[in-house]
Amino acid sequence: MKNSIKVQRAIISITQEELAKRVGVTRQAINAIELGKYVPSTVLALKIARVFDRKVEEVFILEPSD
Amino acid sequence: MKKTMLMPNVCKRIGLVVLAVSVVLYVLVLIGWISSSCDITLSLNDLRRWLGLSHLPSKGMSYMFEFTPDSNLLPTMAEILFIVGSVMTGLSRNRYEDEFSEQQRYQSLTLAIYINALILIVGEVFFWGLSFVMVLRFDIVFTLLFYIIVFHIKVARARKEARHEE
Repeated sequence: MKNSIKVQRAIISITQEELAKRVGVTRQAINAIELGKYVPSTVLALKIARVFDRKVEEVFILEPSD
Repeated sequence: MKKTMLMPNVCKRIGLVVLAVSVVLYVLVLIGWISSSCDITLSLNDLRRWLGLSHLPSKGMSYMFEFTPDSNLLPTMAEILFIVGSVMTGLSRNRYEDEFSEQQRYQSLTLAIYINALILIVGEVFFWGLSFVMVLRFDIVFTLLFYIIVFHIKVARARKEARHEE
């Protein structure tokens, strides 16, 4: 699963730390999600999408291999 | 929202202290420095008195404690402290605990169980009798220790990666 968190962060100019605080996880978690090493839970994905004011599908994109 | 079965963060520090004490105690017992100066021994009668069984006839109960008469309790105490310490260290919340660290715990525990199974298989094949019991004792302690080490390596690695990325 791909995601556009890095791009979305750049759009609203927030750091990983700030995003982590807003969604209530550690910066390590946000970094692992951005790098595609960790797939977040539905709740966390929804929270992240809400911070960017986007739909979940716009932030997290399924790949053919998923 | 989600209930966790982990102990509070303060238990981690207590666990580390207990773990350190147990290791020091065990090493002192191993090198024979402590046993000559403070030998804690347990006889069958002591055990019966502590457990409140002194009123029971000794004939029926004696077989239960046959392995304990006059044995040094220090290594056993050190092992119990080690198990308590490692459980408290490994199963206490980190300062920041989230679903990512939950996944890291799960992966570390899975790896520890694989290693545990491997040690058991090796023990079954190459050891028997009392030696196999020693392998089992080692396995119990090593699984916990392995879980703690792998989990903390994973946490440290994730922290390092996040620092680089930012």
